[in-house]
Amino acid sequence: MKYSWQISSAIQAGEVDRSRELVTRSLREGLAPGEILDKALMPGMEAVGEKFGGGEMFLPEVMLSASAFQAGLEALRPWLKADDASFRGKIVLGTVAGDIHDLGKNLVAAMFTANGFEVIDLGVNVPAERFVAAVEEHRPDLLGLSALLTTTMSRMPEVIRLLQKRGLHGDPCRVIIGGAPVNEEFAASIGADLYAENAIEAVRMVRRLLLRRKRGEAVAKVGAG
Amino acid sequence: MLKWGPADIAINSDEVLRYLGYKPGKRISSRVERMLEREIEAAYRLIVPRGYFCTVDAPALPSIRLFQDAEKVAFGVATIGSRLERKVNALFQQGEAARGVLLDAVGSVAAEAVTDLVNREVNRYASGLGFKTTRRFSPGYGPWHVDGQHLVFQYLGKAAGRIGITLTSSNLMIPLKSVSFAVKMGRGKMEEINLGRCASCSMAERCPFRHDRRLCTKAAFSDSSGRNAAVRR
Ligand code: B12
Repeated sequence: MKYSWQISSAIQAGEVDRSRELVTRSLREGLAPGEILDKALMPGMEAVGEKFGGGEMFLPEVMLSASAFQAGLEALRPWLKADDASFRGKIVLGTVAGDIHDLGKNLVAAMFTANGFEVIDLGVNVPAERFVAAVEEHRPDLLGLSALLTTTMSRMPEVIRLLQKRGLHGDPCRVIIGGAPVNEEFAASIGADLYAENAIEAVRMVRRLLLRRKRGEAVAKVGAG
Repeated sequence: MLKWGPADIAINSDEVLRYLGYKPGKRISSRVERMLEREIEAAYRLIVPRGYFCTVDAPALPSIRLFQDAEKVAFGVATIGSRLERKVNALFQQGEAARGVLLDAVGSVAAEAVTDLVNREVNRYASGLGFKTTRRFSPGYGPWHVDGQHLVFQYLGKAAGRIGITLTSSNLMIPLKSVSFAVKMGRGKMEEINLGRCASCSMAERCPFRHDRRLCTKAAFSDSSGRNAAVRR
């Protein structure tokens, strides 16, 4: 696709204006919005994820890239059909009760927003009850919990328990957790569905989950038909 | 109360980059470099460095193995206040996440730098009494559970509040950019506490700060780094 390489490299370089301009130009030249998304914007951000994973890019650059992606996506959004945004999802996010560390959670929110997700950020020091109420209200695909210390991380299980008690845990709402003291083992032990070490990994995992789910649903429909 | 002006705090940009995961010696883009310079400058207008320490006779402490070979123990706290944190938040709200990450890391380095200054005062006080000191160690790091915050704050008493630090029931200090620590004082040989370094840390396997084999906090740096040795002189 024309421009795909340029758009992708503008994103990788974190060039916000250039990304927006190139997307606008591609649209003007009649390229399909879905194609621009799938063949230019997404590969750009995927490359960023890989470079971050490989230690070639770091958080400040990743955040600049996220802004560039978002600028491109905003230019595209009015032209996208519901079906084009295959990765789109909704996530409710917050830092658990007793904790006011918001940097990690903010980065996760920024990454999801930049990738086209709808993010409902509940802020910090969020009691279990409020998490669950937000899930009930917004019916998200994911609930994300963050914590800075081992003491505050111990407030995560009560959120999951309450979610389960209200019958809200499980598809569509899965729980993803993170934060410096959190690890995979802990996540498994409290019944969280996903654990991500960082914001980039989080988006990747969730996107994979949603794609799988979408495919699963499609299959189910075919089967039912 | 120990008070300093922002200019007394040395914010080392390499240190900030290390916090952000950059490998030492590796060149960063001039764009990020410029952004970082700007945030360091901004930080000097936002930080309010404060600290405090007190000392306790070791035998008076509840029998904690950590302190058994000390004669006295100094408990200290340091903070840069909450203005920088609020600015970081505002940057995120404005969609300036890259600047937010940079300023936050600058704040962490500044908080550690203030802690260095408090540590230096502790060491000066100790040597006045003819005591040697260990490197500082903090609740939540290595073998000391974060619950140790209760003990530290019990001895700091109202003084912590006077420099603007409060401890929540979940052992979190507000402002976030605060550090608490202990230093053992004595004439005999004392065991260093955070010797296990990364090995004793819950994050050992996946810590993003580990690749250069240095620690995320200066509290646990070994003497061979030369840093604390300089402080002690
Ligand atoms: C910088 C730092 C500090 C700084 C700044 C702290 C701050 N909150 O601003 C200073 C020096 C002030 C500090 C102080 C302390 N610290 Co400290 N600190 C760190 C350090 C090195 C990095 C934390 C950080 O800001 N990282 C940058 C951000 C971007 O990362 P993040 O918040 O982890 O978020 C990322 C991921 O975790 C993930 N994520 C986060 N949330 C979520 C949510 C979801 C849903 C998902 C999917 C992912 C996700 O994605 C984010 C972005 O990629 C960590 C060690 C480490 N390697 O992480 C220790 C660490 C957090 N600190 C620790 C401790 C113990 C302390 C102190 C208690 C020490 C003391 N006694 O003074 C104090 C507490 C401060 C307080 N206010 O109470 C321990 C906590 C462990 C424990 N026992 O509870 C850690 C883990 C170090 C360790 N190895 O033991 N600290």
